[in-house]
This record gives sequence, structure tokens and C-alpha cells, in this order.
Amino acid sequence: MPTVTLTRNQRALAWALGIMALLAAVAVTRHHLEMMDHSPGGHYLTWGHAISQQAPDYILWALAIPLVYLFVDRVARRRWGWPRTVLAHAAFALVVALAVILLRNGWYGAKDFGTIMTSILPSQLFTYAAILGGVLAYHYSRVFVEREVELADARLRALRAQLRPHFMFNALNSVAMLVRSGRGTEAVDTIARVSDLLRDGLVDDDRAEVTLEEEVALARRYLAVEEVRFADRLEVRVDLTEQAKAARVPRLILQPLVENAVRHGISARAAAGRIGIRARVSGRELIVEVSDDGHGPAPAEQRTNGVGLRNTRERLKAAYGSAARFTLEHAPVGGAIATLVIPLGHEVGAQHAAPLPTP
Amino acid sequence: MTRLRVLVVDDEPLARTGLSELIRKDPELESIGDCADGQAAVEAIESLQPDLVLLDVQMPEIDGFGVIRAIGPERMPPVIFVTAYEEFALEAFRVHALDYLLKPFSDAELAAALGRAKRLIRDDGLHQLTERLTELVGSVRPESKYLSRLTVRVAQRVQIVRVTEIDWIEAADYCAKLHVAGTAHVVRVSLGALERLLDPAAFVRVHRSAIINLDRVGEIVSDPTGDGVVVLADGTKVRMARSRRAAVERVLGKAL
Repeated sequence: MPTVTLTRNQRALAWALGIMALLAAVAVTRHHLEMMDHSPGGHYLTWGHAISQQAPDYILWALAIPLVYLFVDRVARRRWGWPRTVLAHAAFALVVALAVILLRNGWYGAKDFGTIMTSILPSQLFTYAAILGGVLAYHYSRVFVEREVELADARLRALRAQLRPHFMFNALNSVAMLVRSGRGTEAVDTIARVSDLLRDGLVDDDRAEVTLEEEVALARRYLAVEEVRFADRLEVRVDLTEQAKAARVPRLILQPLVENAVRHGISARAAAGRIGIRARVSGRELIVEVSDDGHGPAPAEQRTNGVGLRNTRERLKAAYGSAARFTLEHAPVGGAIATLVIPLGHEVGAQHAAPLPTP
Repeated sequence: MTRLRVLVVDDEPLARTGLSELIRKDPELESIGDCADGQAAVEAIESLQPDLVLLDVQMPEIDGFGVIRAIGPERMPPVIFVTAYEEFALEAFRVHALDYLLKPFSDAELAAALGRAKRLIRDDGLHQLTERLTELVGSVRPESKYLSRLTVRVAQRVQIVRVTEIDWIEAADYCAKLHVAGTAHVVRVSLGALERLLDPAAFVRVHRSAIINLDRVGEIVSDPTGDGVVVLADGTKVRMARSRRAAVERVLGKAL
């Protein structure tokens, strides 16, 4: 992923520099021609002079482009409100424009401050605004694409988990065994649960966010099939406060955590296990805990580097920046506890892109 | 004709009871029990000596391959592996011509596998099977790693013993006595089976009837005849046989 982003950034920078070079070439040529036309007695401006008068501006602004991009990126990550964001951009614009003017004055000789403020600064700020426009367009298109890719990734992973051969064949085997022992109703129930799960994976739902209640319902359907498989060995407890139920979370954020809890808490040991999903709202944060009473997390590298959990961390970071947290620890009573802390009232990527239509 | 005594091993309750049910329907077979995990399977195979084992591959702690390793391929009864989906295992079964059943299986598939097993047992083709199992256990990844926990029965409860808590293990008939901080727990697993399941870098057999945890060794006193005594940190003295001396030296990396 990082390499893709890098090349994409480099490509964008190359385009920006190309456009700047073209604009500079046009400006130099025009300057050269204009000076020729308006100079009587064969006195005209050489190409060299035209370049030395026009190029510095463009070179300085070209150098400013990566700076502006980095600034836009930083500000976006901070997730400030609009007033603060606008203020930050205004301040940065002023600093960059003044810096460009001061650096340029090295070529032109000093000019008095009043002239700078009245004649040069507005045009420089205008140039900054044009660059900012381009950078913002690029930045948000990138964020939007990344978010789409992340959601598609999460959907694919969830589908793969549901279709994981071991899981599917064992579920089908449960059905076969239920039929053989004449427990037809339970067999049909299991078929219905497996079907629900498949539908969850296949349904064309592009929402980036769902309510926690919906998300937990989905996790429960997965657990329901596992409950049939492990029978007396698996016990599931769900405890959500009313406030927490309505909170919005990234879609499919719980699936890898629940799967992990089953794998480490139940499949990996012979004794019966309990899986708990608990959620509450504390201040401006939603706190979700997925716990198992298995052996507890193995050395950090074995569990947190699992693809599923690494993705969880990445998705949260992409959606909420440093405002969200994810930890996996030993539970005080034994076993592992995964904790998600998600800021409330933040639409996922709301500042980045238009919300996706809800079906 | 005596009926073949069959043991079913699977960690999923439905799969386990269902399979036992099917075994009971076959007049040539007798279901002698079912086990929910690898340790129980090792205990049952050693004490019940079944004629045939239906063995789930993926299980917690001691998996299907671990069971065979613990029992030893030469003492392992004929086995039909049962698996939902383990790519590497399927490959190994095919390579070593061992029988397996894929979950979910039809009655006909089960009957065919059982039929092959019956013929193998009646035609006395067991020595071939031993060879194949030896190759299989040798070929599967060593990541079906060493035992980390054992379950012991204390009164009516099942208690978990981490192997790192074990001071030493003493043979007691066909069972083993785990000495853990002054208390002894009996597991119905032979000392030989335990030796094969435990990490050889941490546990060494010092005598026909004793395995010690190297972490607990205080000193080793050896006499000129070659026999010796291992003194554990808590003062317990365990006899070390001359014949085991080389093995202990190898693990310690120095001469005694």
C-alpha cells in the first residue's frame, strides 16, 4: 500500500510541476514578446532577461506545492472543526506568500513594505489559492479512493471469513449430523443461519458506516453458526447500552475481532468458553469490548500482527485518525479482551467526501 | 466374528456424537467411546487399545498428528483421519496412502472407508500401516508443536496444569504422576507418550520411570559407576540412570 501511495504522490507532483513549467514558459514568452513590441529603437528584452524576471516566481511556487500538500494532509488528520481549519489555512497562506515575496526580493532588490502589502501580496495570495485548490482536489480524491478500497477490502475479508473452507465445511457437517440424528428443526435453523451469513457477505451494501446494533447483529449471525458447531463449548453474551446501540461504527469492524475470539478462546482449547460483546458510551466516545476467556493473547507479534487485527487498526486510523484507539490485552479474569474506542458524532470520513447514499 | 472396537475422536460435540451413532449402526463395529481432545484420545488409546480410531485432525492442544506421535506409530491402531479442510494434511494422506474422510461425508463414503479399514485389519496389513504412519508423522510440519497444557482431574473438577509448572513426572503403572509444587496429579497417559509430547529442550527422561523439568534442577550428583541423582530445587531426589546420562549431557550441552 505505501508504495502505491508514494508513486501516486510522485505522479501527481510530476503533473503539478509540468503545469507550472508550462505556465512559466507561457509567461516568459509573453514577457519577451511584449517587451519587444513596446520598445522603440530596437531595444528589446533578451530571453535571458525575460526568464530571470519571470522564472523565480514559478520556481518558488513550484517548491511550495509539496509544502502545501503536506500542510493540507496534516490539517485533515487533525480533524479540526471548520473555523479552526479555515484559520489555519489563512495563516499558512500568509506565511507562504510572504516567504515567496521575501525570497524573490533577493532578485529584485528591496521594496518598501507598503507596496508589498498593497500590490504584490494579493496576487501572491491568489496564486496560493489556485495551488491550494489543486492540492485539495487531489487530496480529497485520494482519500475517497482509499476509503473505497478499505471498505471493499473489509467486505472481501468478511466474505472470505464466512466462506473459509474450514468454517463452512464444519457448519455443513453440523447440519449433516443433525439430520442423521433426526433433529430436523435444528438442522433447518442452522441452514438458515448459514444462509444469513452468506447473504451478509454477498449483499451489495456500500454503506461505510452502520449502527453498532446492526454490526453486532451481523457478528451474532456468525457466532450462531459457531454455537451449533461447538454446542456446550461456546457461550455468547451481548451487553449493549441503548446509547451504544445507536452509535455509528465502520461496517464490518467487529467481524475480525469476533472471529479471533472464537479461534483463540474456543477452538484452541478443550474446555467451554465464553465470548462477550459489551459496549457503552462514555463522554464523547463509544467503547466496545470483545472478550474471550481463553488462554489470553500470545506474545504480541502472534496476535496483533494477524492480518485481521492489523487491518482493524488501520481502518480505525484512516477513519478517525488518532481519535480512535484499539488495544488487545490480557483480561483481568483470564483470556483476551479487544477494546475499540471510537469518537462519537464523527461521520467516517465526513470531512473527506460526500456521504454514500444509504439504500 | 468379534466386532471391531472403534474409538471416535473429535472436538466438536455434534460431529463426535454423530459419528459414534453411525458406528453403532454397523453390526461389525463396536463403539467403545468418544474423546473430545487429544489428551483424552491418548489416554483412551493406551488404556482401551481400540482396533480402529476415527481421528479428527484439527483439535486444541494435541491435534491428530500429536496423538499419533504420543502413542508412537508402531503402537498406533489403524486410523481413519476425519477432517473438514486441511490442505497440507490431505496432501500428506494422499502421499502416504492413508485413509481419510472429508466432512461432511455421506453414509456411503463412511461405509467405504470403514470397509477398507476392516479389510486391512482382517488381512493383517498393519505393518504397512505402521510404516506409513511413521512417514506421515515425520513429514508433517513440526509446528504441531510441543504440549503446553494438560488437564487433570481433581475431585470432580477438571484443572489445567501448564507444563512449565511441572517439577518432574513419575511413571505409575500405565499412568504418569505429575509433581506440581508439592502435589501429585495422575494423568492416564504413559510416561513414554508424555516424553514424546513434551519439549525435549525442557524435559529430559533421566530414568525409565522419571522425566525432569530442567528448570527445576538444583544439582546433579553422579557417582563413578555412571548412575547419579538429580536434586531438584525443592530438595526432591530423582535417580538418573547411567543409560540416560548421555541424553542429559546433550540437552545441558556439557559433560557431567
